Amino acid sequence: MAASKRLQRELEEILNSDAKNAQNVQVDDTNILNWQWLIVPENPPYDKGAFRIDILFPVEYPFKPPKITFKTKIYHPNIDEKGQVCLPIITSENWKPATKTHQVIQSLTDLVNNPQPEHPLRADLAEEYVKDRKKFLKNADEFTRKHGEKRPIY
Amino acid sequence: MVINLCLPHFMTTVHCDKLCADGYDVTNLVSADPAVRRRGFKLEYFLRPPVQVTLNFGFQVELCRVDVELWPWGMDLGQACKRVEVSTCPDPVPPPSAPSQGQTQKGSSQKAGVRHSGADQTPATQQQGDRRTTSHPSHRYSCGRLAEEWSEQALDECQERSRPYRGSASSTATHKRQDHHHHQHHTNNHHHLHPPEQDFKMVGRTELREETRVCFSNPGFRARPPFPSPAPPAGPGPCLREELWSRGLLSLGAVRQLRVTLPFGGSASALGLKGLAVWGQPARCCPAAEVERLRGAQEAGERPPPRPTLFAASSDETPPPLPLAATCSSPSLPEEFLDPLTQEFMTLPLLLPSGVSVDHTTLEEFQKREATWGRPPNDPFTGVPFTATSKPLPNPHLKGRIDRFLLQTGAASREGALGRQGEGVEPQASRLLPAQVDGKSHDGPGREETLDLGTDNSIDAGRHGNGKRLLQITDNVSDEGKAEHEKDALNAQTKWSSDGACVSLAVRKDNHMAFSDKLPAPSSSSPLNMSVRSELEPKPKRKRTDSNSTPSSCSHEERLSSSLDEALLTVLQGRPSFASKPTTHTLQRPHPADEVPPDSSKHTHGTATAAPVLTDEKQCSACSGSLSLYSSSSLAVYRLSCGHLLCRTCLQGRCRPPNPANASANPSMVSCPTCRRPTPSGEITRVHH
Repeated sequence: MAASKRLQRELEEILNSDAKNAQNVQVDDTNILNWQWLIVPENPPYDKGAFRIDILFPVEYPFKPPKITFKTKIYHPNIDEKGQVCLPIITSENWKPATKTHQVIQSLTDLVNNPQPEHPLRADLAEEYVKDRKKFLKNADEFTRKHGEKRPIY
Repeated sequence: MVINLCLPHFMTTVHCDKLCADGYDVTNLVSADPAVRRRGFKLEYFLRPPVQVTLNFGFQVELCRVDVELWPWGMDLGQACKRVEVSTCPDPVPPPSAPSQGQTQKGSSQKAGVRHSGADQTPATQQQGDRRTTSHPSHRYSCGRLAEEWSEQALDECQERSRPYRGSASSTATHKRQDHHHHQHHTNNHHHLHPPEQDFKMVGRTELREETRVCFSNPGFRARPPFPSPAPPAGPGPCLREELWSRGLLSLGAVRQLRVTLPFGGSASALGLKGLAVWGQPARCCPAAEVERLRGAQEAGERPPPRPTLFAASSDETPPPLPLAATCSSPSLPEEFLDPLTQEFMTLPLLLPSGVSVDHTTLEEFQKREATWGRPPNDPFTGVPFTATSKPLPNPHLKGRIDRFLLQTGAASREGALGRQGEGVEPQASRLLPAQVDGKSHDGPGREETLDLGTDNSIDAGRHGNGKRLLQITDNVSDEGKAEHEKDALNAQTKWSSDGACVSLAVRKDNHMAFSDKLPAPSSSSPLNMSVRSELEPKPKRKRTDSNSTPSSCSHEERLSSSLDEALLTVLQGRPSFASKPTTHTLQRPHPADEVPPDSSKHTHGTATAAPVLTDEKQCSACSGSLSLYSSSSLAVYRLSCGHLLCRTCLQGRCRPPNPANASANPSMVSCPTCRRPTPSGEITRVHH
C-alpha cells in the first residue's frame, strides 16, 4: 500500500525533525491512516489552550488529500461547530501529492493563529471578528479556556 | 491429537440462517482453502442479530473446545456487549422433507424478541405461529428453531431454578415460559414427524465487551486413542475463557450438530464469525471403522501441515501494525531509489522538468487524477504543464543504478522490480529425471544427459536409473565402432537385467583412455561432470533408439559453450554478423566426417565427436593454425562464404595465387583450401572474436 509507506516515511521525518512537533502527533497503532495531532497556537486568543485534530488519510494518499477535523471545540471563524475546517491546500482541487503532512499542519496552525474572515465557515464569528474584535477576543479566550485541551509542557 | 472438526477433511457442513455478505459466506468457515477459511463469515451489512451458525458433523463428536472469534469491534467498543451462545444437538440433520436448517429470519428475530424484550412480543409470536399453521400446510417450520426454543426454555427454567440470570425478574420468566409453551404447542401440532430429540441444548454462553475471541472448553474432556496426546493448541492473545456446561451425557459427549448463536450486540461492527474452530474427537459410541476412517482423514489432512490454530492463523492478519514492520527494511534502500511521492521502489523512473524523478506509475496516477479536474498533464511538484520541450523523460541512469542495486543486494524481492526473476531459475536436482528425458527422446540424435556423478557411479546411476535404466558412457563413437558399441550395450543390458542389482557402465575401451585423460577416473572421489547417454526405453524401444541416436557425445563444457553460442546467435540474428561463426549452421550440418580430414580431428581432439566441427571452425583452413579466442596469435581472421576461416597471412597468399592462369580466370576469387569452393573477394568477411 503506497499510502502506508509514504505515511510511515512522513512520520519518521516528523519524529526525527522536531521534538516539539513529535510530541503532538499520535498515530493509531492499528491504522496508520489515522493520525491525531495537537495544535498549539501561539497567537491570542488561542494561546491559552491546545486543540486536538483528527487527520484521516485516504487509502489513495498521496493522490488524494487527507481530511482534517477538529476534535476540540474552537471559537474560530474558519472552523465550524462540527470541527470541519476549510483549508485550501487540502481541498481536492488544490491538493498536490508532494504536500507533506507537516506542511498541512503548518498551514492549519497559521489559519488558527490568523483567522481569515473573508472565507468564513461561521459567518457570525467572522462578522464579530471584523466588526468587534475585542468582543471576539474575549469570547474566544473564554471558549478556549473552557473547551481547549491542556497545552503540553515542553 | 484432538481434531479440529472445521478442517475440510471431516466433511463438516455449515449453515447460517441469514443472508451472508458477498465473499464472506458461512461456508468459508469450513472451506478447504485456508485463505478462504481465514476470511471468515460475515452477515450482509443491513442484517441485524440474531444470527445462528449451525455446524453439522458427519459423525458423533465428543467436544473438547469451541473457539469462536468475532469481527473486531467498531465504534461501539466498550459501550455494548456481544453475546455468544453455543448449543448442541445429538441428532443429525433430519432428511430434507423436514429441513432443520431452513430457519426463517422471522423465526430467529422472534426468538430474540422473546428472549430479550420479554413478554411484549408474545402476541406477535402467537400470530406468527397461527399464520404458519394456516398458510403453510407444507410447513417449513424448523425443528432447529423449535429446538432452540426448547433449549431456551430449559435454560430459563434452569435459571429460574438456580440463579436468575442477570437479575431478570421472575415475572418475565413466567411470561417467557408461557410464550414458549405456545410455541411448543404449535410446533408439536405441526411436527408429528419430528423427532422430539431434535433438541439443541445450550452448553455455553458468554458476553464479550472488549474481546473478540472466546474459548469454550469442556472441563470433562479426556482424549482417547486413537487420538491421544496433546490438547488442542491454545490460541495466543487475549481470549475469554469459558467452560462448556454439561447438559446431559449427550450434550457434550455425542454431538451431531453444534450451533453458535449471536443473539444480539454489535450494532456498529460487522456481524458474523471471523473464525470458528471446534475441537473434539469421535464420540465413544462411534463405530470403530468410522474412527479408523477419521484417523486416516486426520493423517491425510496433516501431511500438508494444517493451519496451526484458528487464532494463530487469524492473529497473523489481525494485528496490522505492519506498516511499521514494512518500513524496517527501508532504511537500507537508498533514498534516491524511492519515489518521493509514494516512497515505493521505482521501477521506471521518469525525470520531471522540476528535476525530480518519480516512478511512471505515480505519474500516471497523478495525471489521471489531474485529468478529472480538467487539467493538462503537469509536473506534480510545480504544477507547470508539460510541453514538447519540457516533459518527463525516462531516467536511464537512475534506472541502471536501481537495477544494479537490486541485483547486487538481492533486494529485488518486490514483484515487478526486475523482469524475469525467480521464475525458472530453480536448480534442478538431476537432469536425469524421467520426464525430461522422455521429452527429449523425440529429439532423436544426441540424447545426451549430463550427470553429476558422485563418488560412486553405481549408486548414483542406480538411484536415477530406478532399476530400469542402462547408463552408457559413450564417447566418440564412430561408425565402425557402432556395432561393437551396440553389442556392448546389449551385453550390459542383459547383465543388468540378469543380476538386477547393479548398474553396469558400458565404457568403450578404445575411448577410455581419451576419456580418462580429460576427466578424472570415475572411481576418484571428486564429483565429476561427465556426459552420459542414458537409455530409458524398455527393451522393445531400444532398437529404434540405438539406431536413431547419433553416437555423439561431448563434454559438459563443450555443450555449455555451444549452447551459449547458440543463445548469442539467436540474440544477434538479424544484425550484421560479427560472431565468429554461424553456430547453428555448423550444428545443423550432418556429421562432418566428409568435410574434415579425419586425421586432423583425431590428432587434435580425439575426445569429442563434436570437437571436429568446432576445431574446424577455430583453425585456419590453410595453415591449421589455431584461431580461437584463446590462441596467442593475434592474427586477423577472415571467413569465406563457405564458412571456413583463413588467417590473414594465408588469405594474402591466396589472393595472389602462384598460378597466374588461375588468377586471370578468377581474379577476385579466393578458393577455400578445405572445400575448394571459390569465394568472391567481396564476400570475405573479417571475423571478430
